[in-house]
Amino acid sequence: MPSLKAIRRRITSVKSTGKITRAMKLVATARLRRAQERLLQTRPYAVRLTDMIRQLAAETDMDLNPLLATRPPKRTLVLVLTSDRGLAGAFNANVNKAAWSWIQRHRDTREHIELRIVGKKGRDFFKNRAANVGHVYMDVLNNLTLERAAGIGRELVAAYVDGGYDEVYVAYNEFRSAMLQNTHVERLLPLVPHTSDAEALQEHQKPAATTVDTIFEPSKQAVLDAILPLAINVHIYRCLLESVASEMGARMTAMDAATKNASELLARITLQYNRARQSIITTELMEITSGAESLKG
Amino acid sequence: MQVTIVTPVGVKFAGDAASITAPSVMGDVGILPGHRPLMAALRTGLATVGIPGQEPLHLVVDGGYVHVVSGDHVSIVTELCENWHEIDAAKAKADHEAATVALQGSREAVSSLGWLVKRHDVDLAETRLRVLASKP
Repeated sequence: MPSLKAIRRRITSVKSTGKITRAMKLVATARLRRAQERLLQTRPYAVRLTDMIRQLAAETDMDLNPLLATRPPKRTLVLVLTSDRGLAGAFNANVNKAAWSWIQRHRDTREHIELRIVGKKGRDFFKNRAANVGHVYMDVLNNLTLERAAGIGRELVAAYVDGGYDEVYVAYNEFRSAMLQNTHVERLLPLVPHTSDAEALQEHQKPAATTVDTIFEPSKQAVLDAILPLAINVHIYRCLLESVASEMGARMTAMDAATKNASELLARITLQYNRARQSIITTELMEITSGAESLKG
Repeated sequence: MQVTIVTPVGVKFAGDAASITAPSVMGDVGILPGHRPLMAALRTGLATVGIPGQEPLHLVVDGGYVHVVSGDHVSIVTELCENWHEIDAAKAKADHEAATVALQGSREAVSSLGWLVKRHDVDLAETRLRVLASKP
């Protein structure tokens, strides 16, 4: 049986771990709420933008715009969104695995697949694997701004337009609830005007009164060219926000479980401590009484 | 007319306005009630919303488009929209100087991507200063 002192030290350490995990859970909860609010706020913008793009794309020649035109996929870029910090359950492992299995599945049909990674956890995962890792973006999810997302978007568009890449995918965690995150690997470029579902697309193409006698400045094509990069930026921004929300949700759940485990463990070792203390007292009493007995004799 | 200004961080303005001036890529467009349906791509620049009975609202807008849906319904969809009290004067000034130096020192070809990014930074910083100058 461990000594009283060792058990006491253990109790202190478990207590402080419990305090830390509880604090981390609270922080994650607050940050999750903020990320969800920001996700909601992007919605009106994203909806207007994609609606407009869908409308314009239907009325112009899609092959004229490089961001819309599809070419046979030979060289592919995959953006993987992970966090810099761990202790978030399976958040990072899931998205890394999803990206990795996607690469293995599509390797044979592509000449070259390059990775761009957001977050330290993604970098560490792919370091020891046979993957071409290009740029790694650090410290993005901790302090996410639209400028940062737009900067990544600009680099991806540049790689796609001038860098000889034929398609760009993004692998990320979609936030469903604190308990559930879905990983997706979805196409970013060439841009799908809103939905790949042909039927849904047709249904949306009701004759829109808005473009019938609308003046376009400078032209339909030019307006479309101008707003397409914004759609890429907001798409990346949304994926990053989904990742932040997922990370915080996963951390909240993980830290909640850790706090529960800590209190269970604490109860167990406190019991052990009391037993040890009691047995020492009993031994001492025995010694005293047997000493007194022997003096009598 | 009803005006809505939408950005990725939320709806920045929604309300009644008497006039709008927006920086389109072809030059500033003025919009009054009853304007024809219009769809114009925006550059980085100063937009002004005239609100009845109030000081006009000067705003930084950054790209996107202005859409006159019908004569009395206008929406501006832009990546960034700031009014004067959202801008830090000291930072705006420093940014402007830094951006100007970066653009002048740039060896990149005019209208290459890198050059355009620097040009955009200068435009943005300049517009911020203009909005600050319009502070009531």
